[in-house]
Amino acid sequence: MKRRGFIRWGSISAVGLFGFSALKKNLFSRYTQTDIATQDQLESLSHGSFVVLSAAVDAILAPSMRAAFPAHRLALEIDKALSNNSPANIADFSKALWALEFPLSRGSTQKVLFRFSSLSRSERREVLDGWRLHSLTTYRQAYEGLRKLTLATYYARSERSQILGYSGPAFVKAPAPLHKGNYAQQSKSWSAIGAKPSKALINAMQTQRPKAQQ
Amino acid sequence: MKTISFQKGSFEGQNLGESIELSCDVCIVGSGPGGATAAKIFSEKGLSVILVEAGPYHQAERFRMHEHEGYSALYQDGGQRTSADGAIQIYQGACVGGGSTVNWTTCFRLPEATLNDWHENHGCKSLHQSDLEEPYTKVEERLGIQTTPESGVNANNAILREGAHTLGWEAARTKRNVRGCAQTSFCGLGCPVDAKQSMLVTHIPDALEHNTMLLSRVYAKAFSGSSRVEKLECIALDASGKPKNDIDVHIKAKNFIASAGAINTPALLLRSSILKNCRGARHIGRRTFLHPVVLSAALMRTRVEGFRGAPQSIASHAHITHGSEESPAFFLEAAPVHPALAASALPGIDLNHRRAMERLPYIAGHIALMADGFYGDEGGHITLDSSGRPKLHYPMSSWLRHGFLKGHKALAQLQFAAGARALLSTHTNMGWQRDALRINALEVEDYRPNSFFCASAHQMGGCAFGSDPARSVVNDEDARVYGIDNLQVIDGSLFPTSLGVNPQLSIYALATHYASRTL
Repeated sequence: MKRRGFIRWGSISAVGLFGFSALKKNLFSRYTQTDIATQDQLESLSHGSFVVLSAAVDAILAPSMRAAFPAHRLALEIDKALSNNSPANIADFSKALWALEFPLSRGSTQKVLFRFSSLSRSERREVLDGWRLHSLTTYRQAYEGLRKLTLATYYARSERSQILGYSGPAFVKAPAPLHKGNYAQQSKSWSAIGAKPSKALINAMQTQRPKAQQ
Repeated sequence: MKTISFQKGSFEGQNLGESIELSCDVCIVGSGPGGATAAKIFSEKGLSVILVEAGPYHQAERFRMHEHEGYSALYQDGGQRTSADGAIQIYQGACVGGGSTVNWTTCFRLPEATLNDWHENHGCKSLHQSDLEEPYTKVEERLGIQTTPESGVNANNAILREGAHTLGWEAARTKRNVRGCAQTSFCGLGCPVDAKQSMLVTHIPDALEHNTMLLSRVYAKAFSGSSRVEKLECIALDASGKPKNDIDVHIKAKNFIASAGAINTPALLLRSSILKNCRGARHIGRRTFLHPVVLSAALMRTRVEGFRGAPQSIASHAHITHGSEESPAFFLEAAPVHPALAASALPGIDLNHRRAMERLPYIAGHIALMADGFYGDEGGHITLDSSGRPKLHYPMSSWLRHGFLKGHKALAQLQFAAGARALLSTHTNMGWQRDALRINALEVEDYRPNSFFCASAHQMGGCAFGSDPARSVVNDEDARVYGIDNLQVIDGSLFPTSLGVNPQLSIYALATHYASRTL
């Protein structure tokens, strides 16, 4: 789930960026399965952050899960889910991803010359495992944040959980309420009380009207 | 800014195309248990009421029982709210009806021991159990609150009861606010058949039938005025909940009520400069309580299917009198085992996590809820981030961690007594345990933040009431903020401690009590 306030990532990321600047950009191959997503498709993250997220998701999902649904596509769903957060929280999440990417900010001595997204899957798992048990709570927080967000997003789709024996909702479609009572009031139009409706609503009504006429 | 006349009915902020100013007798922020109950009572008195809600106005047709839709649409921060250090997952409603739309329907009256503690240790002299008798009666009748029938106890809850009774611990069927429950199990994602008697289908339609204007997708920024609140400054939100920066909604009223719930009500008061000089200003946001939860997942020999049936129908309060200065008391309940909820709670990644998830139908989920705020515990506190949104700081004190430890051991004892083959404590460094040895070897040091699953679905406090203005934000005589006579707080943020039981019924009763005696 979201990690509110990736505090301290500012300073940790700064160390990482300093270290990274010493590396030549083309020296290492990057996690390559992410070319499907372009910046236009992303709602919350930069493309660079998205690449790191995809690499982390790939390490978090079990092989059978990745076979059923590719990591970079799940990363796209996570990017969309993040859009419910405040800009400050999304920025903090991005900082945590960059801290993961840059060797000097990773807080571990493993593979210090390599970016996270250039590591093999088992090496990325090792890095994440280092965060899981890290003495600094900030790293454990980031590990738990990435882990929960990835796994909850994956299993939130009932079609991906059916293999577990989860039968999904008892009703395929939303049933008509059994107990209507005196509720279910429809919202009223602002124009009915003299206020201007939003442009989005006006546009929606205009596009619906020709269809209704047909 | 155009002045618009009051008009009863519901209106959606996302469809508003210009800034407007409205006027009414009573303006209420938040449509959850406190705000909706107050709106019903004030509008039935013939007053014009504007009820402001930042969340969407979704009804049964939109509750499609899908986790990927429900959490993002109905919960704070799209279901991703946490404490500032990320250690505690916060499940809190963000829709019309507030927490009542998404809670698991468990109802308890305010325990006498808790009220006594408020009298003795928190200066609450004006509120008595007898004040709440009539409100309880009214609310329990309107919301159909009754003891769950035996047929409404699913396997997950039956295991909780069996384990408790095997050990000689008290455990009993709870009361729920439902009528004709269809046992969909999706109370937490909005009831798809309107069986749950949430505010959405009770007090809000009652209020709308009288003289209430409901504004959904309108976010309350701050109260403004000098010695009295003169208006509430709001901003319209778009359909996804993002601010429409150029569209303001200002509401003038004779009386204002903050009912945005614990965390959000203190944040609203902290954003309001008029509150900076009020007598209890330094207490705003202080003493926030969560009933922090630890979870134990038991692997049973037969299918449990904890994703079916009413999520909660059994509770055990056998340990609620065991609090001390060393550790909090706690109570035990069941938790539903839906895939996404389970996935975030079960530890590990990759194959370790997958293997646990593959046992989902056989997993029973039970929780120990800590009664925080007693024996000198100060709980957490609220501050604002740079954009004015609340940040909840909740330290995991040694006292609390001792409670987590005891809670986990009690859950393990109970689950093994009920026949569990193995259990998961949700610690990040532990797998399935086939006996209680490893659980009993856990120590307080194993409860470092972010090294085990911890959550809260009961947010309380932050604007504590009491009879002493030096110690409280709100007067317990009439729920008015000390120093501002036309501003009341009516929601769970009033509590000076946690309750030791699920809070919704206490909030309904307090709201009924205070709204009935106002004006």
